[in-house]
Amino acid sequence: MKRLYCDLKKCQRCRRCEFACYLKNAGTDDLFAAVALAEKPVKNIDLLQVRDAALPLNCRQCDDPRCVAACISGALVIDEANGRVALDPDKCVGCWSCIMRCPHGAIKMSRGIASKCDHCAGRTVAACVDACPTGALTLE
Amino acid sequence: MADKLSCDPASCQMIDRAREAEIPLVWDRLKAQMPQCGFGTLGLCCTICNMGPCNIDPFSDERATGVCGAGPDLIAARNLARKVAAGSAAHSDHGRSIAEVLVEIAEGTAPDFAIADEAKVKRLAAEFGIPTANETPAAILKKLAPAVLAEFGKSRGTLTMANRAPQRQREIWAKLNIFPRAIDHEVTEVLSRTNMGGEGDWTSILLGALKVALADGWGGSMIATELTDIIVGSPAPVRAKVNLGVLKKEMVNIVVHGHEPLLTEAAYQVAKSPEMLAEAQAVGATGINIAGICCTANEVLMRHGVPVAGNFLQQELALLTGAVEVLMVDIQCIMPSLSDVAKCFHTQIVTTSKKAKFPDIVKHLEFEPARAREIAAQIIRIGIANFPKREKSRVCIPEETMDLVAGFSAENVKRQLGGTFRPSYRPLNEAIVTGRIKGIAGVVGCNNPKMVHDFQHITLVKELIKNDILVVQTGCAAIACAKSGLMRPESAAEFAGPGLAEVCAAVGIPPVLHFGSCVDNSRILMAAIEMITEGGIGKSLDELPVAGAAPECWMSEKAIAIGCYFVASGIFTVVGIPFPVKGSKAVEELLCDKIEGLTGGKFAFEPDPLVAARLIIAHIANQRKKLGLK
Repeated sequence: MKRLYCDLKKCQRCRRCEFACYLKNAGTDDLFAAVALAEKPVKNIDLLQVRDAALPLNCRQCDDPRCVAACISGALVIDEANGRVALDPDKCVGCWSCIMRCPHGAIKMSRGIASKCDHCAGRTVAACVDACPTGALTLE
Repeated sequence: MADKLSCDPASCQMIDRAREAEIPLVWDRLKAQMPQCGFGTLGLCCTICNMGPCNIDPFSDERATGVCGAGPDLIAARNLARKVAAGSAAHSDHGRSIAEVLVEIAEGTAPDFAIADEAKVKRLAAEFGIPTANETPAAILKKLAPAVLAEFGKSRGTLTMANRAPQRQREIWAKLNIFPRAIDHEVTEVLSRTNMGGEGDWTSILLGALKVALADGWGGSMIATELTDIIVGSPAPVRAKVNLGVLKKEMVNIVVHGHEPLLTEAAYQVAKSPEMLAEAQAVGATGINIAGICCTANEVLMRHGVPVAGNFLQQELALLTGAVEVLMVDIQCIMPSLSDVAKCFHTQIVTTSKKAKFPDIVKHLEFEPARAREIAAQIIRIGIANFPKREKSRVCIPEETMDLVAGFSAENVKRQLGGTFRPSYRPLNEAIVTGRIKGIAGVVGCNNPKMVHDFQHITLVKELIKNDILVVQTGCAAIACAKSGLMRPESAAEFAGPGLAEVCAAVGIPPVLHFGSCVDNSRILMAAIEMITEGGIGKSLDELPVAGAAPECWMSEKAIAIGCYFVASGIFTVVGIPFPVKGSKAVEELLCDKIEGLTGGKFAFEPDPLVAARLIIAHIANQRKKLGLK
């Protein structure tokens, strides 16, 4: 099962990964259009300061995901096909139990339901990996 | 594929050639930079102090201010003001260099140059309060040249040439406290006010940006234009050719690139001499061919009909022909990549400005006014010596050239319209009043590889002239439209609406008039003033049925300065690529809406040239309505 990894020596803290995720969630490549949206998109990757290092953090695809255990509606499940922690937006009722349980703070509220990194399912390359100018991010 | 990068076949051919030869070009480097930083693009990155560098997240409140507390409006406004100051400084420094040479001419220490327009010396002298009765032009110049140079650093008063503006503009500027003072003072003050912990009121900062822009348009640029006319000659309509096909296989090709035209002028004069011709023939060439890129090209095109090889995005492509013996450069718009491209061929780059050195350049032959022709001759001889080193098998010059008429100015349009003995703007104004010409658009500015090369310029201008709007152009925009044939007189019949075509046929002008280099945007201001003086179409710049457009801008900071001085002067200006302000709704709203209530002009950011055309056509129609014209 894949996870996003960051070579911390290469990360330049440019936040292009965050911007790419914002644009992907906004559903547009046009930065100016995204900024003008009335309802702002969320990002599913956050550049965090961890002591002296900068660490882009997203859903860590936990082996024993607490969010799945907490989910009252069955929106969060482990996808049998690929082992990914998958969120079905149609089933989410916005109770925020997953947000409270996630030890990484990787789940956000977006448009009344939960939102988290899904490895850009439906794209050949994840937006953040594509955008990273130093190749620090890899999905493996 | 190359045709997605440029709509000019000659350029596409050279881009393909570069691909085959694996020579990276500007487009490749742009692709490698993508995606470019969102903060920079939005104007939300601040590097002014070392509590940063800071950025503001436009989508959340995580980082709503920088470390000092500056929010997105202040950050975007400060950044923009610094860019306007930089652009204004670039144009103005060019003007200063010309003024310094004028002083030397007056003192007799620049024997290769002389006064080429005595009438203009007298007109300017009157403007500067210098008596001209019974004085020779040389005597007048001794007082005029230092007086003009003083405009850059004088400690009191406001810019002399800004008083050319209509009364209403001057009142507005005085009221807003943006009437420009000494040019260097305005540049310095913007840098000072935008220091860390400087001014915190972003509206006030933006007004400061308008002020330094006005110091460019009515100052540095206007000085450059007027003084170059005095030294090199005021332009007259001239036929010439444009595009890469002007490079000649059998000649020594000297490509000039940059902005200050005085060494270029010297090179043009020297290259014509029989001695140089003989030297060229001795190495097997049929002669010396001077061709230009960008603004220095426009300057010598306007006075002498020197051919133009291309505009900004073609600078690498010219070298790719394998036929350039010398690339002579001075300042601005010169890509550092040129030395890498030149190394792939026999091309020698020669830098000539003490203000613009490049690494890896073997030949730096600095322009000195006292020895202009001597230095020009040295440079041309480098080209002659280099001619035999051309690899004939690698020479590939595109066939494309296009005819154009260039050399229009505020003064000679008057003569063109009214005739030699009764020069007048009356015919133009009447054409506008009757509606045969709806209005005038200045379509100017850069190229940017983020857009298909030349496409926006050509598309916008074609749409405007189709709708009976006379177009005046400068800079790379002018070169773009010239390449597509819009500056031939025949293009009126081919592309212009019936009213405009009729006027062009009657007067004998193309529907698109080449007004010169980017500092010659000041000519557009001067022409507008003449039209107001003639009367009937508005009493101030904000009333005229005119608009500005920079459809492939912005690339250079100079473009932002130009846009700002047009808007500050009351002219609606459409820009193709937004200034870096989209991260601040308030700043964008001021520039694109509220500023109209202050100066009478405003911006619109619109990348689609047909939509931009609609905006301009609608604006001009509205201006006509307000004037009571149909």
